[in-house]
Amino acid sequence: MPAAADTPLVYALVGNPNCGKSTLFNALTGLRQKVGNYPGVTVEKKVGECFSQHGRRMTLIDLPGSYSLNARSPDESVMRDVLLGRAPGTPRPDRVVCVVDASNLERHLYLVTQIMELGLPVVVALNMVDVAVSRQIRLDVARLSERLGVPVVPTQASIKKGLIELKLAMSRDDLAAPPGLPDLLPVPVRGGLLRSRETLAEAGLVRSDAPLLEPLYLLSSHDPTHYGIADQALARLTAVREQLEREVPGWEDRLVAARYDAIAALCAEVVRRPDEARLSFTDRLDAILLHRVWGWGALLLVLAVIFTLIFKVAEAPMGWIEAALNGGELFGRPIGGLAGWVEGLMPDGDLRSLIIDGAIAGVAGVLVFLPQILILFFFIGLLEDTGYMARLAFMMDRLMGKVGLNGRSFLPILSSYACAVPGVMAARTIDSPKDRLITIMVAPLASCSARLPVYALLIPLLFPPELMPSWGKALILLGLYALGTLGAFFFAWLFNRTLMKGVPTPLILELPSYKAPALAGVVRQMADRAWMFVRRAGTVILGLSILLWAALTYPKSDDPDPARQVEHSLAGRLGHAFEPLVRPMGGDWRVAIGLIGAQGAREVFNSQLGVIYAVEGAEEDESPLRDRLRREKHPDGRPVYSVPFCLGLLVYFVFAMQCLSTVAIVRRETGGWKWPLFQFAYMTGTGYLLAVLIYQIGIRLSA
Amino acid sequence: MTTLSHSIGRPLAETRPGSTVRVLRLEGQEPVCARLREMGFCEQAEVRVLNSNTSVVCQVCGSRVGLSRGLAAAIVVSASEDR
Repeated sequence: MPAAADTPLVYALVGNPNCGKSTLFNALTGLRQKVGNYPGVTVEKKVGECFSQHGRRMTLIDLPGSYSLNARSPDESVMRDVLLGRAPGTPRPDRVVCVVDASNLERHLYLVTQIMELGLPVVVALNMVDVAVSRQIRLDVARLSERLGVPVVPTQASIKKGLIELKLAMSRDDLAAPPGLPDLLPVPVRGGLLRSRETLAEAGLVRSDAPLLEPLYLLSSHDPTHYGIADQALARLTAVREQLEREVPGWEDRLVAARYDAIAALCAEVVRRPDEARLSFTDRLDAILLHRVWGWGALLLVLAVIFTLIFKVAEAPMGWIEAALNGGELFGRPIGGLAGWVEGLMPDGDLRSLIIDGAIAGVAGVLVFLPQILILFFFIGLLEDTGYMARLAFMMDRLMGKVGLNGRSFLPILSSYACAVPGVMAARTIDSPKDRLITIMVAPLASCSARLPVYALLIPLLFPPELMPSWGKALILLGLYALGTLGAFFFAWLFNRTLMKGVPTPLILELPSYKAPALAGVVRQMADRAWMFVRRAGTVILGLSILLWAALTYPKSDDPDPARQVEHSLAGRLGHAFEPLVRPMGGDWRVAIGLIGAQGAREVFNSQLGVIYAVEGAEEDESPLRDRLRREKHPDGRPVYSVPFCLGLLVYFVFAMQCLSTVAIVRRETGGWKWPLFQFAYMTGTGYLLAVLIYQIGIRLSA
Repeated sequence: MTTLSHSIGRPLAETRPGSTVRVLRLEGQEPVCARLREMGFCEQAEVRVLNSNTSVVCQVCGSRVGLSRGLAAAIVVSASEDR
């Protein structure tokens, strides 16, 4: 590491979505990057480092992609706030690198013209020049640079071309802030903005030499969150804005139009396009993939492949992870795994039990989902990188529109079938706060993979042991998934009608050209996202399993029978205390213990029952436990695990919010306890009511 | 180029794929219109409709933009000039 004596210049990397910005960031910084969060908002903060050709250190901030400084989503507000030096904990960048798609200059220059007015030195990276060349688009780079008044460097980040030239331009000592396009602001608009800035500077809200548009970007009418602006200041800004609107009606539209006019004039000079009357490959593929019939066929095929892989291919590695940690069979040979190794290493006692049954079991509980999560993230990355994800959003838009959401909500809900934690995090890209909140509220209703072990344990109990048709089990499993999905749609519709009324936000997205995916980038993104999952979910589940272990272990009884010990423990006493609540749905105190444990993480239900009924190895193979459950009777001789009870219990698991990791992530993403508590109440309440209803009707019918 | 044969116009959602049209005006709520303008659908902008299925895909400002049908209905365009 070089000495930190000369503080490195800070560069912000900005650009539209799909301009190859992240690829460029990775190419520039390699592995020297840190991923964190901006305080107060849950937007990922990526900071990296690279060295100039003269060995000077440069710090790079990769800002979220955006079309405009007029922020609409939390992601976009972060870009605006960092560039204006208003993001707490992040220094205002010294220079800005604008990444633009060379084949899409007209659109991408819009943001560039906004950035050029910020008073910071700017370098334009003309990325994806290969795509422009392949489409026979000719660009006069020297002319573009001259007209913009900033260095313009052609790059091809995917094969690291042009990086040296870019770094040379970035580290130039004489880089000055560009003047901005001349005559861009219509005269009356400029006058109005100057007066507004004066008023705001007097109030101490902006510096008197602030970029002319700063107060208005801060007050973007489309951003109702206004991170970091005090309410009082907000009122002042609103007043100024209203006055400006009175003085110069339609100033904002005129400004947008003026910008595009200036860009059109510029592009007429520097861009030569071939006549594009011919439909491109992408357009022909779109004709199929966005088709009313074929499009749905393609969509269902893609989803079927992803789900099959998530549930089938992930099975084997999940078994390996389980075996490596808790012991079991690995490639046909029984192994003790990490738990077995610790068992041989330590004398019997509380500490050993804590490590094996608490810590290792807890770690296994998280890592066992990793194969599914990795496959999910790999495919999401693949779909995004090939350009299909944007089409998926449009295909789903109609359907989502029926319940008042738009196509952007599809990805979070899709992710939630693997795990609600990445699903809820994926909702960040939704620009409408109402849609974002509703999506977060309903996403955990998608049956996540943690419900699967419970479904697998309970579904066979619905059939007599000698009659277990596999198609029947598969049909019921499918039904449970369908029930969760319908539930998500129903509640989205309900919330949209009642709690969060509003018009649906129409979907508008740039559709990138289809391209072969850059696998290295996809794998890297998959690893990043998976690591975030392990960190977020891991800490919660590990802590929870240690707590559960303690509740099952203390206070100790002298009885050697483990089932008696459970009854004597804190968990057993809690089970008895909660029994009255569980009885209407047909359960006893043992079921209550299982449900209390499952309240933190659903899959804990199986291992809890295993401990309660003292069935060894219940996690690896549920059939011994299931046989035990079949024999379990109420004091009056009726079987506990009857069909109405199991059916009700399954429905409870479909609806109830039983996941501390999700509660924690929802609290983070919504910035308070209100929404996670509401979510917990409505989900668990629905699950409980339905379970009681099914049981009560069921026993009356079968009586 | 800017002379328009029809000054009344019709929604972009009803424009045949393959035709090139010009935006006459935006009819909708202000934040939605502002977003449309920022994506390049300013008055007078040239739009080429590529695909009109569950959504409308068009070429505007050199790039391909998808719109939900509802949004495309809010964009009033000139009569088509086929190429």
